[in-house]
Amino acid sequence: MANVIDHLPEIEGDEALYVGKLLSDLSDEQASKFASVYRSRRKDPQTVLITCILGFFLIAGVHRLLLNQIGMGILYIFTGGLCLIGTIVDLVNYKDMAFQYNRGVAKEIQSYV
Amino acid sequence: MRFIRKHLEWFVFSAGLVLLALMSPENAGTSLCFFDWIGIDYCPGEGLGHSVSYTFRGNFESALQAHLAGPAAVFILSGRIIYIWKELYQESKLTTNKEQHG
Repeated sequence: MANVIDHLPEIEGDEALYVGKLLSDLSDEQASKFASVYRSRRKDPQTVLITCILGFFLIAGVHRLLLNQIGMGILYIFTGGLCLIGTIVDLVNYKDMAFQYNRGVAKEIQSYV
Repeated sequence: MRFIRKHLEWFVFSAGLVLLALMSPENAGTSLCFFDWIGIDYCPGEGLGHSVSYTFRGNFESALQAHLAGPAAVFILSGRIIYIWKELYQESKLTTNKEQHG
């Protein structure tokens, strides 16, 4: 029984709930292995937010590339974030996008551990 | 708020695609461009709406002329919408399972 607060104190909200559920099935040793891999692979929602805001001034779509959505990223770059509309949508739900990506990462790591 | 955030992305994208599919590409009056609304003349997505609209009518030549990314945009956006639906479906299946098992 491993606790998410002990192993991954930096995560919060839905992500903490989800990872906590995964960790509850693991031993302490497995959990610390999971935590070190997960920490290096997850994307911080704040990074997603900052790269999304870049879309208003400099270049749109960096956050999509960061979240491994290559097609959407390139489309955003060439269309200025779908004429800013896409950038504004992503500004509203950057947390969910980051969580969706991190959930995939957590699921993948769980299968290795 | 949570519900809106969860469904906002696919809803906006599909609403945009449906609107552009219904609008005539020859119509120059309306614009869905945000840069245009706030008064900036230059937009890197200039002509994208017309391009998508032409793509829905099968007129690929005019579509590419209006904006190079138009036909690609239709496929990428539809792919993204379907992906989100799949994720939402899997999520709803997980939560109903949880409720059944207590």
